[in-house]
This record gives sequence, C-alpha cells and structure tokens, in this order.
Amino acid sequence: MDTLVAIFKGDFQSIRIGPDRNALGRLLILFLLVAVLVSMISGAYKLQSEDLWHAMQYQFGLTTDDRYSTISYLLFQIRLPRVILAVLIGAGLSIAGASLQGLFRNSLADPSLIGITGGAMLFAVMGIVFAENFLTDILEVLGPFTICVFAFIGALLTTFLVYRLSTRRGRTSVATMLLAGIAFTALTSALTGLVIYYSSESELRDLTFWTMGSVSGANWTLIVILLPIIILSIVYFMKISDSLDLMLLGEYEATYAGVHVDAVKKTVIIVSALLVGICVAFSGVIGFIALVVPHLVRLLMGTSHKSLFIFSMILGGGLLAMADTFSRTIVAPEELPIGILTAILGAPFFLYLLVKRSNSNLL
Amino acid sequence: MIKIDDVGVTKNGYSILRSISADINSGEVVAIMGSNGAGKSTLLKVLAGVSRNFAGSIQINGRSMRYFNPEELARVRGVLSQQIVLEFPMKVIEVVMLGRFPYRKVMSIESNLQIVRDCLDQVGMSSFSDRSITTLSGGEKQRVHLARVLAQLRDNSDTCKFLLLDEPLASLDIGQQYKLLKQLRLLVQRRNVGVVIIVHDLNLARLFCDKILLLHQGDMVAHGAPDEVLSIDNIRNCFDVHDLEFLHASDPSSIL
Repeated sequence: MDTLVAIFKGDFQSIRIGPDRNALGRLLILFLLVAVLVSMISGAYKLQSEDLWHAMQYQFGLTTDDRYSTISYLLFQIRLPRVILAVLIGAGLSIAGASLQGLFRNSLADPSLIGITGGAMLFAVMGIVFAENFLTDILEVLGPFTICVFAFIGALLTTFLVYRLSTRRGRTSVATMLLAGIAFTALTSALTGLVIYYSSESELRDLTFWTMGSVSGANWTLIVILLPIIILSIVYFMKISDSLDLMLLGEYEATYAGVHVDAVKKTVIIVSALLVGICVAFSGVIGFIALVVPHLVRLLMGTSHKSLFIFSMILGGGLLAMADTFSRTIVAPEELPIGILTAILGAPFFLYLLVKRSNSNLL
Repeated sequence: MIKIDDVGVTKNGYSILRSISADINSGEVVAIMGSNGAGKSTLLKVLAGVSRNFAGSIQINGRSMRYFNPEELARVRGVLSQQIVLEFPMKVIEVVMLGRFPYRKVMSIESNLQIVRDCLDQVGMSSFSDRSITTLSGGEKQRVHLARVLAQLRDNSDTCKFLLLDEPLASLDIGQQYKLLKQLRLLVQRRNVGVVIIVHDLNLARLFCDKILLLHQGDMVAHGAPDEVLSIDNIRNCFDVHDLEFLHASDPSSIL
C-alpha cells in the first residue's frame, strides 16, 4: 500500500532498486493521457478542443445553450465511456497477462495464446444462448452479470487445467503450456461454433461481436462494474508482487524463501481469471495485448513485479485506447473490430519472441 | 541444532526412507552420501520442510518443524537447489535481494541492501551486481544463488541457522568445488550456522565435512566422523563396487 501511495505522489523510484525510473514512469503516464485525449476527439465525428469545453459546460450546467446538447451527449454518453472502457480493458488484460506470466514463470503466457480467453468466450457464448433459452432461473438471479459470471467460470476452468497440465514438480514446460493452449483454443472455438450454429439470428450478431473483440458496447454501467475489480486486483497484485518475484525462481525456491506458494497460486489463478473473464464479457476476444504490454514494460523497467504491474496497467490502458482510436478512424464511418487490429500487430510480435527464444534454446 | 528422530518417508506405498536419526549442530558441515536412489534428496526435502508427509519428528532449535510457518522456517534454514532456471533477465543484485523476502516488513530497504552487498562480497560476486543473471556462467549463477541463500539467513538474532545444499558441486570444476567447500567451512567457523550438503566425492567429503550420514536404499548405514563412516566395507556395500581394489587400505576414501 505504501508503494501505491508513493506512486500516487509521483515517486516511482520507491518501487524498485536500481537506476532512476521516474522519467520513464512519467513518460508512460503522459502517453496514457495523450492517448485518452486523442481518442476522445477522434472518430467518425471529429471534435474540436472548443467542443470539449462546450460539452463540459453543458454537462455541468454552466450553460443551457441547446446547441451543445448533442456534443455533450456524444462526449459523455458515447465517447467518454468508450475511451474509459478501452483504458480499463487494456489495463485489466495487461495486469492479468503480467500475473499469468509470473505464475507460469514464462513471458509467453498470454491468456489468448494459452486458451484462457477461448474458455471465457465459450462460456460467455453459452451464457448468452443457454441462459436465455434454457436456464432462465440463472438469468433471473444473476441479471446483467450472467455473461460475466459465465466468462469468469470459463476462464477459471481453463487457467486451472492449463496450469495443471503444463506444471510438474513446480516447473512449467513452455512447450506443454503452448500446446495445451492450442488444444484448448481449438476445442473452445469448435464448441463456440457449435453453440453459434444453434443460435438464433439476433443472437448471432452479438456472438460475432464477441469473437472479434470491440469496446463499442461501452456504457457507464460496465465501467462501474469493471473499475472496482481493476482497483482491487492491482492492490492485491502489488501485495503479492514480492512473492511472484520469488516464484520466478521456481515453486520450491519460493517455498524455501518463505512464500505461501499454494495460496499465491490459487489467488493469482482466480484474480487473473476474473480479469480475463470480465474483459471478455465486456469486450470480446482482444488478443496479444496481455503478451505485448508486460514484455515492453520488462524491457523498459526491469523484471520486478511491482513495476511490471503498475506500468503494464498504464501502458496497456494507453495502448488499447490508441488501438480503439485506430479501429474507429481507419475505415470511418465503419469500425474495424479492435481484436482484429491487436491480432494483426500482436501475432508477428509473438513470432518474433518465439524466434528469439529458440535462438537462445529456451524452447 | 536440527534433531532428526526416527524419520521415515513412504511414497505411493513404497518406503523411501526408514528410521533416520541424526543431529546437526551449529559449526558443523554434515554430508549426506549414498548411491543414486538412496534417499538423499528425499531426506533433504524433508529437512527443508517442503515434504511434510513423514513419520518421526524433526526439531529445529528445540521446536518441532511442523509448527513453523513458511516465513519462520525461511529465517532459520536456507536451501540451495541443484539447478535453478531463471529465464527472466534479472540483475544479480535483484536476485540476491529476493533472499531478503522474510525480512521485507521488518527491515528497511537500505539495511536489506547492505546485507545483500555484504553477501555478494562474501561469495566474490560484488563486481557482477548490475549484470543480468542470464549472462553468467553456471558456476557464477550458483555463487549468486548461494549469496541469495546466505542473505536469507542473515538477521540480528543469535539463533542457529542451517544451510542445506543439494549437490552443489555437480556442475563445478575441481577448483570451484574446492573454493565453495572452503567458503562453507569459513561460514560455519565465523557464524552460528550448520551446513548439510549432498555430495558424491568421497575425497572432498573427507576433507571438508565433520560428519557423514551414509544412506543405502533408504536405510542409514552409518553416521559419524568421515574416517569411521567411509570404511572399505561401507563403500563397497553402499555403492555396489565389491570388486573395487583400494590402493591404501588404511585410507579408502583417498583413492576414489
């Protein structure tokens, strides 16, 4: 908690030993702010800086000029929730990726590569189709949270299974982890296809949105649900960051040094599955962001999990806000699903990492 | 003192260790020896506290090991594993700092860093502190991890600490083996520490260890001073080398 307070005051140096990282930390925050601002004014309808000012005046009752009501609605009900959702999804996926990479002791452990996103997607799709058609009682109890709960269960199950399959005696096999990911992704996409096959015309549109990833469904309710989850997750991850640093040496070494390894493992699986599940439920499958962001942060800031979590959150938020801006403007007035964009950029990056690792005999 | 009393381990219905009893005192280097599959690593895991399914009792400084929580245990015993794979490019000083995990809440970062630098100095790796561990050789990596485990055992109390090492000589050349064992001897002389080490080389064990615990197929064959334990009969029986001729029958360990 002390570290979070220090970071809030702008002191990034307190989170790690070694050279000064304050300048880089502030640069990343600046990047996030610029990405948010650019995202707010860009889109099918371009906003000018004075539009922002007028919209704010109208929203906060400083003017009653009805000329600004449309701009105000556009900014506060459409664009702002979308930008904030993009930032939160980017932040959530990135810290989930960073925690999974710590758990698997491997920088290739991306939720979309190792099948977790696929599991969440399958269950989310099942939630849409089955809950509406067969399990109406569940829908009544869970209400708007139904898809979140289903996606969380799907993510939790696949994380647990992939971890069990790829980790033996405290050591993770990269090959098994990636192969298990391929198997789970194939299985879950086949089953998702099966569910889609039996879905109705109106459900089909929703489902296509899920499989490609988009933050176009943003509204303030989603943000109110997601924000506390992200805050609680980051507080928890900061608390266990020293334990995760030690777990990079292996589970036995971490136990020898005093870490409650089983407890850390279980909670990381649950919290990361919760993050991935909710992000998939709100924005569909957005791949590779959880792979690329922690990797870049490690290059810039070193391997300590404290800096990894904080800066992955900032960089991930900024990057997804930027990606969303592109997805809205590149084929305007149409939209390119954001998941397609992140996959086009992320997949070559993954291939680059694979080549780098096989050159250094790490595969 | 670590007091091992009638310890036995059974896995999947097979008895792996039977009736092991021994004492490990401060200031002693104790070798665990035996052929492959004798139960050496299992015994070390039991002493390390990661294998909790065992019969009998183990007391550390008069308190049953079963009542230690992981952090308390980490403050009294450190373990250096045979092979540690770290694929992330951590700096040497950061790796050694990981050893200060049990003290992160009770000591300031400056005091912890001071101890870390001291331990790096002790193993002769001070000049490497800003290097990435992935760029070091096998022997250098092992010295860094030794510094990490030494850092884990440093506090202001006068409690006796124990260092457990699982075949630390396996990947080292003869010069490095000699240096590491000399360092361990210095450690037990200067600090309130007892060392338990799994070692295969009879000559080195005889030169550097105060006691040897000889295992054979899960049984403790002998326990005591090297000269008594490393008898011709014990060596022939435990390592299944009945036709081996000894050059000096009075000093069997010196020829192997």
